[in-house]
Amino acid sequence: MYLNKLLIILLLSSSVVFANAIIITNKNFKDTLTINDVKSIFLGKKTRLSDQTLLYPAYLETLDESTLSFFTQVIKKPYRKFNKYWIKRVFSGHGVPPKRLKNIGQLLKYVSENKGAIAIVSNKVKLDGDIKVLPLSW
Amino acid sequence: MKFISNKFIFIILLLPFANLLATPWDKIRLNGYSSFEFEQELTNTDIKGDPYGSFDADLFDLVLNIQATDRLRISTDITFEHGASTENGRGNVAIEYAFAEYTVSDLLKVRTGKMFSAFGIYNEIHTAKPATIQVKEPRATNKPDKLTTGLSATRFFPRWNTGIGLVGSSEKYDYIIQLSNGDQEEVDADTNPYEADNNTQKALTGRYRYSPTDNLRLGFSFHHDLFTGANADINKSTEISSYGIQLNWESDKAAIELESVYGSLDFVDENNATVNEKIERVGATLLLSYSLTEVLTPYLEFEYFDPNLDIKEDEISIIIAGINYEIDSNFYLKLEVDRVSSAENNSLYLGRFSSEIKAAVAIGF
Repeated sequence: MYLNKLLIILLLSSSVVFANAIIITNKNFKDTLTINDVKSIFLGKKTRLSDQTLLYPAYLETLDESTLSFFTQVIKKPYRKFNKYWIKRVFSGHGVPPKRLKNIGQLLKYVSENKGAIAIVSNKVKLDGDIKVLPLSW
Repeated sequence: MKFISNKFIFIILLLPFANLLATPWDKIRLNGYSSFEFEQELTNTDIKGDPYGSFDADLFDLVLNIQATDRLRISTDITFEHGASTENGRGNVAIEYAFAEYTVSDLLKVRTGKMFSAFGIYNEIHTAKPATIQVKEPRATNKPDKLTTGLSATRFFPRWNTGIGLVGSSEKYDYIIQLSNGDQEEVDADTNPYEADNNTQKALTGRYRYSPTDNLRLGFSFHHDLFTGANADINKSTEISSYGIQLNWESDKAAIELESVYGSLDFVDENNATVNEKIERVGATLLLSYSLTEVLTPYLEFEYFDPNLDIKEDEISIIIAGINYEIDSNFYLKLEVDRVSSAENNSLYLGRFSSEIKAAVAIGF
C-alpha cells in the first residue's frame, strides 16, 4: 500500500527529462512547477513566481536536439511555430520572448545571476552549486 | 581649477541620464520589422489600385521594450512609413504604440498610453508584416473604407487609442479592456484624439480569447464609442458599436482563421435621440493555409463585406490566392492575386470587379 503511494508520488514529482532536456533554475528558486507552468512561462502567459519575482526564461541559441524536442513535447509547438508565436506577441506589444544565449557558459551565468531565471539545457551539462535542476510535476 | 570645474559640469550633465544608466542593458530589448511591397492593378485602373505597378518602401519599425523595474515595462513601436522623408513631406513617422505596463499579477496588468485597439485578430499586428501570412490585413473586417464610401466606410473600430488598459492572461485565456478617448472622424479636427477628447463619452474596447486546446483559440471583441464629426453637417453625434468573433485553429501543416464583425452606426442628437436611420454593417474573413514544406505555405482568403444591410446589392466579395515563402528565419517573400467583385449598388466599385497582383518582402528581427 505504502509502496504504491510512494511509486505514485515518485511518478508525479520528479526531475523530468524530455528527450535529454532538463529545466534548470537559480538555486534560490523556491517555487514548484508543473509542466503546464513551464509551458506557460515559455509562452509568456506566466511571468511571475508566487512571490511576484519576475521570471526570466532562457535557452541556447544553438538549439540542440534536446532543446528542439522540449519545444515540441512540452511547449507543444515545434520551434518554428514557437518563433512565429513570439513574433506576433512582440510586435503587438505583449512582451518579449525568452532570452537566447550564445553558449552554455553564458546561459549558466545568466541562471546563476537571476533569481527568476529558468532555462532549458541538455541533461549532459555540468551544473555548479548556484544552479539546480527543477523538479516538475504533471 | 579649470579642469575640476569642467569635470564637475560633465558630471552634472550626466545626472539626468543616471536613471537610464541604472537600467542594465539586458533589461532592454530592441526588435523590429520591415516590409517592401509591389502592387499593380490589372483590370479597373480607374477604381483605385496602382495602374503603373509601383514599389513601396512600406515600413520600417523599431520595437523597444524596457523592463524598467520588475513590475514596470515600457513598450513602444516607432514606424517610418513609405520612405519617410520629412524634408519633402513624403511618407510619415508615427508612434504605433507607446505605453507603460505595470504588473499587479499575470491576471492584472495596467497599461497607460497610446495602444493598438484590441479588436479581432489583426489590428494589434496589422503593421507587422512578418507576423501575417498574407500581404495586407483583411479589408472586410479591418478596412471598410477601402470597400465603400460615405458613412458606411467608417471603420468598425479605431486603429489606435489613448487611454487606460487592463490586461491579463492565464494558460487558457487572455483579455484586454481599454478605456480611451476613442476616435475622431475628422483628421484635421481641432483636437488630437491621442491628446484630448472632443466629447465627454469615452470609448470602451475589449477582447477575450479562450483556448480550449493547444490548437484552437476562440475570441470575442467589442468596441463602443460616441464620437462627433461623422455627419457633422446636421450637428449630430455618432454612436458606434461593433462586435466581433474570431476562431484560430492550426495543426502541424494546416491553419484556419475565421473572423466576423457586426457593426452599427446610430446618429443621435444632443439628447441621445436617434435622428437618422441606423446603418448596420457586417464583414467576414476566412483564411485557409497549408504548409507544403516547412517554408512554403500557399493560402486562400475569402472576404465578404455588406456596407449597409438595408441596401440591397451593395456587397463586396474578395478572393485572394497567394503563397508565402520563408527565405530565411523571419524573412518572408509573399506573392498573391486579389480579385474583388462588387454588386451594382456598391458606392465605390459600382458593380465592377478588379484584379490586383501584390508582392512583399517582410523581415522581422
